[in-house]
Amino acid sequence: MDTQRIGIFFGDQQDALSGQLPLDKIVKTLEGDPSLFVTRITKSFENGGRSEIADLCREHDLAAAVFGGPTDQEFFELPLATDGESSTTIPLIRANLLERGAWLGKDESQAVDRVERQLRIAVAKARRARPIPLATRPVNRRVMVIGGNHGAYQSARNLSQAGLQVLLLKTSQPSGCFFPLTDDLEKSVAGDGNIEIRETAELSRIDGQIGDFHVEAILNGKRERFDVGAVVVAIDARVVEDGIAPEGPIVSLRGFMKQQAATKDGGETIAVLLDKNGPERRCAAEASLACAHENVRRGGKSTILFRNMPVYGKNGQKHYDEARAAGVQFLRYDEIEPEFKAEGGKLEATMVDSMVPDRAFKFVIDHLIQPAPVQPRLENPALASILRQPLDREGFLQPGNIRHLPVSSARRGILFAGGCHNDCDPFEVRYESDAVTSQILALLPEAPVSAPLEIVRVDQSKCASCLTCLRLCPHGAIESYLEHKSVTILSSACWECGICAAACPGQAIEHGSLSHDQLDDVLSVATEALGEQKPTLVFACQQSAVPSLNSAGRLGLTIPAEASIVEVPCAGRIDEGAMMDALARGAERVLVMGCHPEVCRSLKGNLLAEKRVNRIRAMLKESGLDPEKVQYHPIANNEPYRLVHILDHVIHPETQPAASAETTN
Amino acid sequence: METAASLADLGLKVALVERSETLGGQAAHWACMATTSCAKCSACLIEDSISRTSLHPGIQVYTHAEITEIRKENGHYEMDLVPARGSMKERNTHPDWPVKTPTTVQGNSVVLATGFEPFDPKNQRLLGYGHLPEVTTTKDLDDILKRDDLDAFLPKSENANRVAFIQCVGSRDRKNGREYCSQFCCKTSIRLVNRMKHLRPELDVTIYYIDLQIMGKEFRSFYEDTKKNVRFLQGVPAEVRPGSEVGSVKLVGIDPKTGLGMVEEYNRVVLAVGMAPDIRNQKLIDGFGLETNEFGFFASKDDSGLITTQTPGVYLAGACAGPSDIQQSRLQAMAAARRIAAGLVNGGATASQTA
Repeated sequence: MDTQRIGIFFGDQQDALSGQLPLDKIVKTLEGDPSLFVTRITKSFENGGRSEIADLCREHDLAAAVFGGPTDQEFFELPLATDGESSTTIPLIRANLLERGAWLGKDESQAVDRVERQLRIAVAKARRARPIPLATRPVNRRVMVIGGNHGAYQSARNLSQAGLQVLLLKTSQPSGCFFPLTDDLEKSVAGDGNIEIRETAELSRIDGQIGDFHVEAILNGKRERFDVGAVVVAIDARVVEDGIAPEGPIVSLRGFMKQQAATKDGGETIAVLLDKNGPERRCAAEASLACAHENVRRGGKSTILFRNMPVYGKNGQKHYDEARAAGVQFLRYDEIEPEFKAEGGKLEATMVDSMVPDRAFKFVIDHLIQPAPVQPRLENPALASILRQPLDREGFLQPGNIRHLPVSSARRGILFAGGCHNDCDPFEVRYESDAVTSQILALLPEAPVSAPLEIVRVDQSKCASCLTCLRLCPHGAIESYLEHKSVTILSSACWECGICAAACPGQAIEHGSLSHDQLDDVLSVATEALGEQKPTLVFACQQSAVPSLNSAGRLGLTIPAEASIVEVPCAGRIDEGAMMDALARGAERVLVMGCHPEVCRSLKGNLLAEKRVNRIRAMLKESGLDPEKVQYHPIANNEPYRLVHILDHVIHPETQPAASAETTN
Repeated sequence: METAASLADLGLKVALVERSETLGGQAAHWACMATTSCAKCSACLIEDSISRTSLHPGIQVYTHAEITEIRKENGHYEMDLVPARGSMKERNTHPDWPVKTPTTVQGNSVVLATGFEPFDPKNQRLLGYGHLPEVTTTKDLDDILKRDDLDAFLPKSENANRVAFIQCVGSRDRKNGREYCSQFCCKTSIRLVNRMKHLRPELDVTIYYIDLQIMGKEFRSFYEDTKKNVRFLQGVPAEVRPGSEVGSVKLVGIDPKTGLGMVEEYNRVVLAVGMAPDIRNQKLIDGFGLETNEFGFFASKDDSGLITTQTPGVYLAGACAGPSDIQQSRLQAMAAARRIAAGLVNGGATASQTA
């Protein structure tokens, strides 16, 4: 049937590989297959090639397209109805032959077989691909900003200037910041008609997705619901003032700064003690420097006692130099901490300078100023569970996953600014609120764009409402309706990692670009032996292993002939069944390659994959089989050399040395 | 790249002009620092940005392009591009070579994101780089780790395992007019050491520093973990001398414990080189009427606005405006995008320039 034909499009860039990739031979083989439409496009994918493919698909009534070049897109828009009302997509499958051709090595006959296999894998995927409907979703351009200090006020002002409506929810917790809000900023936010300020709110729930969040908060004991398009969490860190007496010779940095702000003159003899609780935080160091400098300007004497002088940030070194030039004294201590003894209303400091370690010297000061430790807020764990985004290693909000830093998160539309998530100062916070604004503008466009709907979807007839997916989804993309005993995937929130599809015990979740059927067909092609050679099946994560494979190709490295690559959206898409299936169908080994721990875009896809691999290894071992048949190896997208070393070693363990940093699992 | 992508995400048309053959700048050469988990070096984000930028429908990329002239007409900028010097053959045969013939790009705003040059320590004779084979730089070590070949740095051996890192080479150096912190070298060295210790637990590593900059998300806990296996010593050695045999060098400095002179022997010394301004920027400085700061980086309008310059419509992002690491540069790029978007009428074209 004509409509079932699949198009295979080679990019013009293939010419660059002439001599390396015997395309003509491959095309000849493929053209014998009447269900395939094979052609070459004249433009590169990003510069017109995309629409060229779309036009050809329409013209020849093709069911799906396979593109043999680089693209990060799995679907593209192609209106099927002529009335322009409904539109859908033609599935586009990436075969990425440009780099593949290069890594096949110099043996041409092997290269033809293997390029053909890569193409057949893509075709197998394409035959089972289903069109994805497109939809335009209305977007709520009102943004909720939570917090009551720099980050919140700056963000609110920027967002309002960018034409968005802002709801500023001030939390009941006291500000932890060393730097008070400026009057200018406070006034301009208070007088801004696009910004509504609501006081003393306690967040209790955030449902929904980007462009359509429903936030529940308790305001003065009353539960209220707000509909917003995005949420910016911009509260402070916790500054622990406990243990420092408000009066007396030892004062907290914040206390002293307040005092300084209240008077115009009157310098004193002060010492500021830094690094007492580990390396000083950026904000505390900035503030200490400013306050010591100001004290000297007022005719006082300032000494800063430190282990490490922070000169970080754009003006760090400059502020340090200026303070020193103005007469602030800097003394470095090492292992022996300075001691202070009360002496007639003053303090006597005993200090061992690290440059003169053999003797202690003493001096008298009016005040010892101590920056209180900057810590995560106590309510952070509760907040993290409301935001459905885990805390970082140190207990601050926003996991330290670099793919979502600096201001975003794995839950689209939940953003962060200020001390709640990062070591910052007022300078940095300004950038953060700028960045938050540009991110939100991109996420909430004025004219909504049509986007693929339900790339990952739930088959309600199979769903038992066990909520495994809800618990595992790192993107907050699953919503459950207990009253209907069903779950739904929120399309705009979903990153299409496929963790849910792999984990669902009833196989009720279908991944649009790698469904259960597609995976099944792909495995049957990918595990075929080429001649005598049994393949090693490599499940390669598109965020890490695939770019490294491609770089390996560009660098001219040779991938062992046995490797049969199956691209997966995330290592977490692959379940135990698929791994076992690959072995059963004849793969020599199965190798799952995903991101290093803590850098998976979907936070835990890599960890889930490794866990599954380890379960199979234990099973194989128990049955007296070789556990090395199934392996997990973490890799980054910029490690082509290491990747080739790993493949060489896994496939030829007798002859090839292990790659670096290989810990056996 | 990050600015270009952020702007294009906002629906603007962007021309990205790049001097070298590939996108990514210096950081594209950095190695992954992961051990048992990600070390947050962010080098892999460059790879992400390259694919995001080169496939973005809103971005036209001009690699290997050189700017010959910059004009300002009716409130927008025009730049003439010619193919950068390099292999003529490659340019003529590569079907995707964007700038085969001279061409002109236009933009309502211009973002300069030309990056930095790693400091070259060859002229600091006392540190031995260039004439003592045992002395290398963090940049060279990064290349070696990228090739997954630590043996090229230090062959496996039972008794030659002592490695020293010297921080602040080309940074915080008043004598040579570099009195600024390069922001990234403390983190780079600590990550490198952490990775090396993971590959070769037997290595005995010392980091000589002036002031450790333990800043940024999760870096405190990372430092605390590294500190368990690595010696940190305050005060940087003044001189690296040839050692008693090949494969060893002597560091001469002050012992912080006694305050007296000390000599310590190591098998390898790694110089943590800072960021230096790109000296090839003169054409941009003249063309856009920009100023540089006392160190040679592009000067921003005021202390607080790293992003804006003296020239309206010209913005800065990344290390060309002063040292910044990958995440800081990303933050600045997003911030620059927001300021441009705020100042532009809808649909305006924007040119970004990277080096």
